[in-house]
Amino acid sequence: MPALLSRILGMLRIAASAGPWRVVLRDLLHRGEPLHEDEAHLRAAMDWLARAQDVAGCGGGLSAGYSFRRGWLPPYPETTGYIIPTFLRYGEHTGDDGWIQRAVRAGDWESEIQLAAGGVRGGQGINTEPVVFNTGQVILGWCALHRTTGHDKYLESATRAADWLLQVQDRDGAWRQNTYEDTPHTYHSRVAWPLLEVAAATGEARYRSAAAANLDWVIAQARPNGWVESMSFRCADDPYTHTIAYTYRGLLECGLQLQGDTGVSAMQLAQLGADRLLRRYELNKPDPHAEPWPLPATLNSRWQPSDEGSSCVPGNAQIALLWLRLAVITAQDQAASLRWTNSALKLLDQVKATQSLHSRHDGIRGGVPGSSPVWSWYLRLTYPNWAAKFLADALMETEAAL
Amino acid sequence: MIIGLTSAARVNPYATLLIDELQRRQLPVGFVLSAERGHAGDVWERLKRRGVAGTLRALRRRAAGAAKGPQPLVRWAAQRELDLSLPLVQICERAGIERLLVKSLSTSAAADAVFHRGTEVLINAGGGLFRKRLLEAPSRGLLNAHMARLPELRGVDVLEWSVLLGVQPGITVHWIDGGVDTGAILGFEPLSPAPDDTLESLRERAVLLSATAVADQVARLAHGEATELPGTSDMAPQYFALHPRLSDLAAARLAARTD
Repeated sequence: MPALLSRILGMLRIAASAGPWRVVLRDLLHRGEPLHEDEAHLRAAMDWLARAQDVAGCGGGLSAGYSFRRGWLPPYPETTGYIIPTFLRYGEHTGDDGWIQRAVRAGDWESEIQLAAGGVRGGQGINTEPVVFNTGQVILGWCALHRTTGHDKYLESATRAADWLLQVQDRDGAWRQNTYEDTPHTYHSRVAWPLLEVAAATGEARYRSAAAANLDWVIAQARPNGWVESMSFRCADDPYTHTIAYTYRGLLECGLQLQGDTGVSAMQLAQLGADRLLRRYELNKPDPHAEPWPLPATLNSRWQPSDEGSSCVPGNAQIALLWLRLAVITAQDQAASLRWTNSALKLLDQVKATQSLHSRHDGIRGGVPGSSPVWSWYLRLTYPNWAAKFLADALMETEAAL
Repeated sequence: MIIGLTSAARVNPYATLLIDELQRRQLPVGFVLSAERGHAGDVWERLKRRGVAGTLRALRRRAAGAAKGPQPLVRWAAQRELDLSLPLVQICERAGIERLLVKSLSTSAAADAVFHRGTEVLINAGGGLFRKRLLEAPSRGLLNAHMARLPELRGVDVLEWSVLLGVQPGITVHWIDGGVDTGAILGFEPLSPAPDDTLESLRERAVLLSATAVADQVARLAHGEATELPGTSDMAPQYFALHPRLSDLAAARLAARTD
């Protein structure tokens, strides 16, 4: 009965508000939002993230997103953590100290709710179970705050969290306990990356060894075509581009920081995967000169779409960001760098086309939906905070790539 | 030598130029295999491929480009007394060339028509992606002019990519095989931009050079003087349609060049 009541209330909420209807109608008619200069889209995304922090009402955590059915969602420790570097970078970009203060509030909140054993609470709201992936993402935020502010308290939180990650890591380098469905995931390469950040900040080799062990395990899951097994949330499902991008971004950032064979292999695998994604994107169009269709929401191990009808918008922003990172990293090879940039710009235009800059609805204006069309499977009728975050990151990286 | 041309447009300046260049080398075109549509068909096809917004964007860009820079095609046509705005049907009638109208170049009827005429060389003057049966219909193959150096720059918008990357623009004449610009290479003709060139005028210059380069290579084939270099693999880097921001960057680099 409460579930039914909640559903009815959700439907009434949608029916009473013009904003969601406009988005649904837009997607029904396959109409994109008008494109503006990057700076306007960036500012709108950042303003949306600021609202997500303000409405959460917990001092620093960001609401997980805006749902057409449930309104603003509870704060989300995991994504609040990795939004900290976005706030910091935008603060540097604009010279506005207010964004640094937002990052500080988010980091302090994360430290306040950090579990005694060091792990970060899983899920939305304040839960009791620590989760490996979420812990890694918040470490990224604490390490960024430590670099920016020089305050040791953030490094202490990060070190405690990293110690917990080492405690629950299996001997083969994978994490199985305290993970989604208690199975190992290769997107944990994005947990190895924060461990390397802690290693760099503390000089402690054990974090580096743990990261390398995980990467060795991830690399062992790769196929010759660049596909990596176990990139999905659930073993039986094909992965969303969201978690595919997590996997290759983790490999890329680790490859940049790790010396030796593991680092080289991680970098090569990241480039191979990114290239397969680029081909998947660019070759999926009616005509060689036409604009490519957006990437499908999920892919299978042959890099074929398993869901042609929808696109995972945060995944698209993340993949554009992955290509832009490669563009920056390969800047000395102009042809390679501009190839990455070219495809990233096209994919980003498609993400920008899902972002309304002028909606009067606070949950929609500047936000980025989970899916396109908005009613598709990945976070149906929801604007998650990580979609806005990855769009903002990609737009700031575009500046670096060009 | 029996030579055929493909075409998919009602008005096809490139095919007109090719016919003229081949005739000047005593290499008459035997037939034009045309999958052209009427005006409405052209508009519908463009809308289908690019969408309303994409079509309007392309038309705006074309209008903006056409307003600036030299117009080498217009000048060339005037010198040769060619009317590049004439429909291909009239060009064929004037030159006594058979025009084979087909529904699509992908059909077996199109491939059969090429095969049964004993065609040695078919030249790509439009038609998009070709099916294997058409590629195998002419005894020597299907010839293409690619607007950049191969095998380095395969894909589309490669003239603009050449400018963007600061490499020598030019035309590669090559055989079309099953891959994207992967076939054996007959030769490369460099293209030197004029000081006042825009991307639009450079593209026109490239169209002119394509016609002469292809005609030269067909002449070499006819005289048994052609040489071939190996093509490349389909896994080699491919260049895709340029985002407008990178097109603008290419235009700026072309305008800023000093050599």
